[in-house]
Amino acid sequence: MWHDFPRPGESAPRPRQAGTRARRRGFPQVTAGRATVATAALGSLLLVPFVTSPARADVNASYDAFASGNGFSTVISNESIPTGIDIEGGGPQAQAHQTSLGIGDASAQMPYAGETVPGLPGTGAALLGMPGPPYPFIAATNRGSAPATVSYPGLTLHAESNPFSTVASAVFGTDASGASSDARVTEQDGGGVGSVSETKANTLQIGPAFTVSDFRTYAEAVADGTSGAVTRTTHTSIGRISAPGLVTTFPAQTPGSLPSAPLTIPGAPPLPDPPPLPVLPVPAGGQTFVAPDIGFVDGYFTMTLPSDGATGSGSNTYLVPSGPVIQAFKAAGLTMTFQAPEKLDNGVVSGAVTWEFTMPAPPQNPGFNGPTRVRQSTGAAVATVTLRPLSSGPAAGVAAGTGSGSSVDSATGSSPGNAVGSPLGGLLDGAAAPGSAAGIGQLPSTATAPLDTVDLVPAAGSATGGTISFAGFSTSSINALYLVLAAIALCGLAAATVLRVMGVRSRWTS
Amino acid sequence: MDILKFVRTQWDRTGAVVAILGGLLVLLLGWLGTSDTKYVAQQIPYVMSGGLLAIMLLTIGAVLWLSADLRDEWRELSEQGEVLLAEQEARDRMIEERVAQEVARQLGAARSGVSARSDVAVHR
Amino acid sequence: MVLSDLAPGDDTTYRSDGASASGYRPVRAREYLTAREPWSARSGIVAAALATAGAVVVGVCWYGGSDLRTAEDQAPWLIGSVIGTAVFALGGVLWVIAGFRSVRHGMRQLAADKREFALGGRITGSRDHAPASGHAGLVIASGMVRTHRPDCLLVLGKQVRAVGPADDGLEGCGVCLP
Repeated sequence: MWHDFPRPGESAPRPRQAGTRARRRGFPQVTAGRATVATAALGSLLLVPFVTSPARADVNASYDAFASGNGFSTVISNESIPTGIDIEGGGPQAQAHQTSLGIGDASAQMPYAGETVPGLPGTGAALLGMPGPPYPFIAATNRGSAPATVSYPGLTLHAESNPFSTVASAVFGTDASGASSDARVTEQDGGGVGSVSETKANTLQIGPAFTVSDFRTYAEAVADGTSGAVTRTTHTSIGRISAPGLVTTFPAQTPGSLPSAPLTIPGAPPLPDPPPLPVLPVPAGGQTFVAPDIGFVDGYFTMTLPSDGATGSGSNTYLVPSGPVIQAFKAAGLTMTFQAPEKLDNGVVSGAVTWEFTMPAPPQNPGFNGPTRVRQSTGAAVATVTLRPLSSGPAAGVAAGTGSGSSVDSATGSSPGNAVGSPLGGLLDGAAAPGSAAGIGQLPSTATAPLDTVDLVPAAGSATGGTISFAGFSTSSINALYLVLAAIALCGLAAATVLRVMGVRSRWTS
Repeated sequence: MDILKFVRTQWDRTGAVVAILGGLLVLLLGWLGTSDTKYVAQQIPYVMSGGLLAIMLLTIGAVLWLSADLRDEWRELSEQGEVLLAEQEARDRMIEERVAQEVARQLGAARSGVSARSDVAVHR
Repeated sequence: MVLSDLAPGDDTTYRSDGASASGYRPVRAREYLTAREPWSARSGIVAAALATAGAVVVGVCWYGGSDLRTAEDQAPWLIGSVIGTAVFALGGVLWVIAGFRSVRHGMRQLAADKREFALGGRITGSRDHAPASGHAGLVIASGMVRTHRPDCLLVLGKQVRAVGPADDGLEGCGVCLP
């Protein structure tokens, strides 16, 4: 495309400098030298960002995250109980609350005793002027305090508040038989904040005959560090609900599979999509199962058949319609309901299962008479994160009017006005514990007055020095910057056109 | 001339038009991207890939078009020089002919005894 | 074209020694006669290097900065990409400037040569080194109806033969304008 031709020999003498092969000492060599220098200078400028870029470990946002795992709870109602209150007990419970303002509260307690009871021994001791023991069944830490562990036979409570995470765990019993709750809030490497809570229970005795094995409920809310958008994950499952002698009969159907819908518990709120399991095939119509292996996944019942090697899919767990299962439970005296997971503006409440049964009235006695209604429920796991990225608009995932107040409120609940003394069993009245109140999974109303929030922007030099601070940079200024770039581009194009007309075209005269 | 011939001969102007149109399109797409989000951290990549890339494409277009005009002007210079050389050749031939004529005339005159008299001044 | 049409194209006055009033003497080869393009290899390499470096810098900065979370982290990458764009534009500007200078020098050379010729002097040009081409230096390829210069794009890669007396009367190509 371009090439250098040798200079033709100049033969005739002329009053001009002749014979020299004039190398282009002019433009390209000088330009090459200048360009090299300029490129080196520009290249050294490019090193500046790498030298001064800040470490990217911390979350550059304001956030408020909460995680709470509540274990099973039991509400007992009987006419003989004085003042008509219901006795309630529950636990174990783990809570973690962490904010960008330096709050990192972790607490693990068994059973859940609200906020007042743990402080009662001290209060009582102060009133009576005697030294009182600390509330034994709670481990709690704040940001800056050392991790706390409380251990008793059959009970382990652990809480720790770290600079970037807050963790609480409460284990009652063992893995094989008992319950545990975990709650954790963590600042992630990418700048996001994750809030996770999980409750497990195994070998729970429900009513006189039922045993619930391998119950898990899980809730997770992760807020993205850039956008503040919350990703919610929740899962509720029961490995096995068994009762000796439980008989389940599935109705006769046309050959083929059972209808795939509805498989949900009638009257329950909308459930998530069914798990990817095949529907129970009924080859020849009605079939009766004795002591079936019934499971539960996110609102759908499953049944695991004895492996017969002919399923082909490698799994012999099937979805079953809920009607026959519920009927079977009812025949055994147990009413089961499921509260679907609830999606909050800034998080999620996992699903919870409730069983109700009535213990028959004991023989007449002076103390305790009449049938006793018992409501046992598995606790819900709650995970919420409200994250507001810096130099951005309003926080994502938070509707006006709720703010972060709801998550804080649900943590504290309403403390009981008076408490029955003994901590063992945690018999309280009317404590609105999450996941254990009259409506399973119905949290206290979230329509609280919004908390006043203060926009805190870190000081411009808070990261390692020399960085560009975008404090004050807003979306509209980036838009303006873009428009300026567009204007520069178009002006350059116009200048080139003018140069064409003035510099190239018009100079040719002959 | 059909399109292919035009593109082949005016490749630089064609490239300039393509680059300029591409730059304007990229500019528009970048603007749509930045105005789509309300978070600065999501806008900055659009500024880089939309705005700055558009500037580069428009630079390419402008450079190509100016190069095309410069090439055309260079060609005109070349043609003018060729004309000049052609005129010089013509003048050289004319001088040679005149010289040859004069030599022949003088030779003929020498053979016939007539004294040579040149009435042609040859300037070189 | 007659001699009177070959007057100098600009207003430069010339001294008795042939140089212009400002002392300009075309000392370079008559590139406007010999070179096909107004750019030399060096200017092309410099411009291409700057443009490539600028484009690479912009690409790297875009790639590095687009998956960061916060605007503060992206700021250095944005600055780097702006610098890359400036380097790229610099390459283009240098290319255009090189072309302008070459054309301007060519104009001055041509004007000086015109004056030289008008005064009876001689100029030397591509004729001395031109490849052997046919009558008046034009060529034609089979199947064509017009005559072309040897470097015309329309005869590029084709088997050409020199234009001979038999081709008198053929029109010249509208692209290379023989």
